Amino acid sequence: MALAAAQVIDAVAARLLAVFPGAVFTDRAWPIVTLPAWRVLAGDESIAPMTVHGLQQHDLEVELIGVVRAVDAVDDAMHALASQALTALNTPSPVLGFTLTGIGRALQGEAEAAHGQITLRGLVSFATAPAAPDTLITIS
Amino acid sequence: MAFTELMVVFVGDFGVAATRTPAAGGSAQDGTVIFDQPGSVVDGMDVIATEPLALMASTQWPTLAAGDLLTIGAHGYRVRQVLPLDDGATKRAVLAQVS
Repeated sequence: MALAAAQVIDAVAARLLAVFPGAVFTDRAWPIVTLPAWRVLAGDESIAPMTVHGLQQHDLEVELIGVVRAVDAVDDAMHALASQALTALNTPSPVLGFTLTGIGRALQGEAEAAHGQITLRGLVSFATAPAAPDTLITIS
Repeated sequence: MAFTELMVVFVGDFGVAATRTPAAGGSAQDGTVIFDQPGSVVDGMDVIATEPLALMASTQWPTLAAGDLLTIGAHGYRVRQVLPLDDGATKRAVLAQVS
């Protein structure tokens, strides 16, 4: 099994894959060629002891970075992309209790100036036992 | 020794046929451009993209402007920017592929 945080990333990515087949990546090392596409990445993860059974609560920041190419109306394309993703993440219920905490936007300013990036930032809380970091315990 | 070749000959040696359709309206105009499309990684996005560019004599299409459409080969490109180069004898159109 993988570290619990990696399982969270995989679960979030699986929701997006249903809507964007072949266009969701969980590896930050490789540049993307075909758009639109998503990167799903783990950010900072805070951990605190819980009062039950010696468990630890993890609050994992999850970043979903969507990139789209549109020569005209790139903002509209970014927003449509984000809308599709948020619907997928929250239907039928938020994946692992995913809570959206912010949205960031960036535009390519040079050359073709046709690429837009929209970043959905969210939080997923879960628990693990200290000796079982690969056993994800949902708390949502 | 002075460089005496005419710009139209220089562009003709390395150029390809292109057609401009003005965004402001009017008839399409044929011309010749040196077309490049180098690849690059979009800064901050980790996305591989091409940067299509058309180099031409400044005397060609004097009113070429952002928004115009260039048809080069089988593809259409929207003009993003028009930039004079060096002594102004040539200009470069920064393009975005639309078809």
